[in-house]
Amino acid sequence: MPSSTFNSDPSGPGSETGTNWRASYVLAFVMVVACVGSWEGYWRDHGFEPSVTDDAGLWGLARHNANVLGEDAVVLVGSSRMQMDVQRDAFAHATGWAPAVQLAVVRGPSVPVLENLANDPGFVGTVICEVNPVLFFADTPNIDHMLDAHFEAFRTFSYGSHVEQRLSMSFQQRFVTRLPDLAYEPLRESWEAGRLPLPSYNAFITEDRYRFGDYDKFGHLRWANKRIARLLRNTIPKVMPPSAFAKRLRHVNALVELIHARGGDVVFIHLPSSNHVLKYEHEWWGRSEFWDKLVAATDATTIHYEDDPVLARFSPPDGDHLGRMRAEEFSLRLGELLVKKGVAPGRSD
Amino acid sequence: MLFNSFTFLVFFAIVLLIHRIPFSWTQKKIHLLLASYLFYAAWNPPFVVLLWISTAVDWLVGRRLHASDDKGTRKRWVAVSLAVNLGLLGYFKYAGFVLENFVWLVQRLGFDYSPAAPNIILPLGISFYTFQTLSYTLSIYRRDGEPADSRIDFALFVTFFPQLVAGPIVRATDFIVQLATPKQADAQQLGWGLAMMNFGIFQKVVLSDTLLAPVADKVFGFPRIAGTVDAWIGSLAFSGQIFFDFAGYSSCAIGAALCLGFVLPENFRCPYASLGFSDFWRRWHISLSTWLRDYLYISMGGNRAGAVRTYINLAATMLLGGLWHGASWTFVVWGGLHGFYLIVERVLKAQLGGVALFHTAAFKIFSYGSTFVVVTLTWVFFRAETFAQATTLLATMFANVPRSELSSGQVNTVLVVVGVMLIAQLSLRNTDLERVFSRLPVWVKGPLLAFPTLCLFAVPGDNRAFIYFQF
Repeated sequence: MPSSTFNSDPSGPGSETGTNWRASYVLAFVMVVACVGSWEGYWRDHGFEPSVTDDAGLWGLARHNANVLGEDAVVLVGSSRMQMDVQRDAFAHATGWAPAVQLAVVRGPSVPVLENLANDPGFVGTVICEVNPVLFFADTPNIDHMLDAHFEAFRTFSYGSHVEQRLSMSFQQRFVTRLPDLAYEPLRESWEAGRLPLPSYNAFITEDRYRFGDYDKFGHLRWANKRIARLLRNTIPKVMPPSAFAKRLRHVNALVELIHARGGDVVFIHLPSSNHVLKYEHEWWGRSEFWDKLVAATDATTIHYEDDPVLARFSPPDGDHLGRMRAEEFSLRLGELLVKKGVAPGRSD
Repeated sequence: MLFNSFTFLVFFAIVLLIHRIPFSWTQKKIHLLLASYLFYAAWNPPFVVLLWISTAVDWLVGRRLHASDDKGTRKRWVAVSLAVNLGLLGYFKYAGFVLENFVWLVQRLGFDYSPAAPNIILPLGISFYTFQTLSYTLSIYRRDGEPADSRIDFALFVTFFPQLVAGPIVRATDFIVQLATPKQADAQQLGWGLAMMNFGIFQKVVLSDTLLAPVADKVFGFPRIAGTVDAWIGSLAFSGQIFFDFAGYSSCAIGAALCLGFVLPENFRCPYASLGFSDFWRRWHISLSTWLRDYLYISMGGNRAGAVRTYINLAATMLLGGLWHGASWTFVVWGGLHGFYLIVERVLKAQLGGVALFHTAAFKIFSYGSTFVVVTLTWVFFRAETFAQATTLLATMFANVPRSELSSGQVNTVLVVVGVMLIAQLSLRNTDLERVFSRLPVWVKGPLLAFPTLCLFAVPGDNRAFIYFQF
């Protein structure tokens, strides 16, 4: 036998005697319970609440559900606006559709997700696709790759990952210390900056990836808005040049055709913005140069909140996102508009 | 199924519980076999078929080899085992690489040939279980080992879940013999097995994934050339990351097996406290390096046919060892460089081994440091996406590019973690952790067991796969 390094003599692992394992593990257990309890209590006392983590695995699970639902699938694609402005039950109630699958991602671009759905023969549902000019009409190829891990999580989705996701969520929903805001890197950054991390007003996420905005938690809204307004004033975005924009329109049209060919549907929607964000969008992505050209070029249904007197009344307090109650109402009105346009069947009652 | 997942925690708790129920030994082995298939299928169920093919072919070949005395017949049977196992490995792991290089060559010759890239999924752990089953047939072919008596024993040897997807690569004669009698961990084994799993997951999730990987990923992912300090810190971070990732996995594997009453071979022995490169390969991924030595280097003649032939054999073994890690030229270069270091070391030892200077304490310290630095520099080829990226990063390390995109916190984190790792490895170089741990008082052991668990609670990780899973 060639000599392996293995040796089954008594000096293998587990052969050292003299350890009182029971006492050692009892002491370790007591310490773990005491420290975890204190750590949990400390952060809860600072306003943090446990929540599901919105990571690639959770997205992969939602994306898997979009295929499982078949023709009944309605998916929401876009950024945090879509994740916070459209709420599941209200939207389902108004449209008569099954609860929509939330595929929007914070700061997430719509086109790569639309591409992922269009190129998958397994997806035959309806796509409600947000057109956030900052992401849809900007020349930022690196942003298009920010969802690669999400697509990989869907591509490699298995029953094993389903079980893992469920188990992870059950921990995340019970311990604030599982929040990404309290992970090593953000804590280190806060420590370096000499301040404690603050609970976010939009950190609560449901198991099906809907996000709630709670402005009661936003202690410094006016100050934050001023800071972001100043930041936007000094930011020159990479607006898509005409050739790239024309190419994007052709590409988006091709994707819409693929979904239509399988019996699915696509709706492009511009969700409300306000104040400094609205100003920024108007300044760089003039409606006639971008949105109107998209409307003219596509076969898909299009909705701009400014065109509907009811939707135009919604004004996000932070410029970008509606609070929970307003989002519920917005979802109802948006659903009713989709019914009016003949896209959704409407309530059966 | 990843060791650093909640699914594994639940799975392992159930397996351990059932294993301790007083069923017959055969029933317990069947339970472990089914659990192992479930463990593998949790990733991608259809690929369990590959395990069955490997198991069936090598079971048959093993018996035929043992039964035959005819040299020709025996050669044909061992060729069947090699063809099936290496054929599967070659197709799943190297088909894309071969095609890519073929297309490159053909296009250089002026032909317009651009086939679609093959969409082949690499089955988890195929490199590991292929080498494991090959060791079985090769040892019977060499008359070094006996075939397994029971199909269940053999199937469990191929599939045993703690070491199935990333080793340690276990020899049949070491493992199958353990299946002959009922195994159940005693209190010492269970205590230390759980501790090893705890330490292993801590190394993987906290040290590797949380503290070091983000820095290494950032430096190796820079869209432009990194600064000199960043390049060094990124390389040091990867050096630590790959150690904690793989040693952490091995620790979990050995610990999990020990909790079930089985002993797996040691895979890492403080490799960054090595005195030279031959010492490094006696300490890093020991089960692979000994496999390559026993079944490749020695098969090619080893050191039995003169100095030049020895060097050629060493170089070839290390080049193939590099290629085993991944289908890319960067891995081949990484393996080739280690082959080169081993040859240079051998030549220097032969020529200068008697010089007194080489036996002084100062030279020993220099050897520790230089081995670690050169190993770290060589990891750059292992981690880089392309050969060009690796050479650019290495060039930056020896230039003066003042730019830095890493925060002082990230730099300090890497220096502290890698520094503590080196001190710990130098301290434990000639002993082992279990021995040191067993001599500590309970009031120290308790906190040492609690600390990794506490860190795991405080680290909401994203369950990164182990680096060696891709091999």
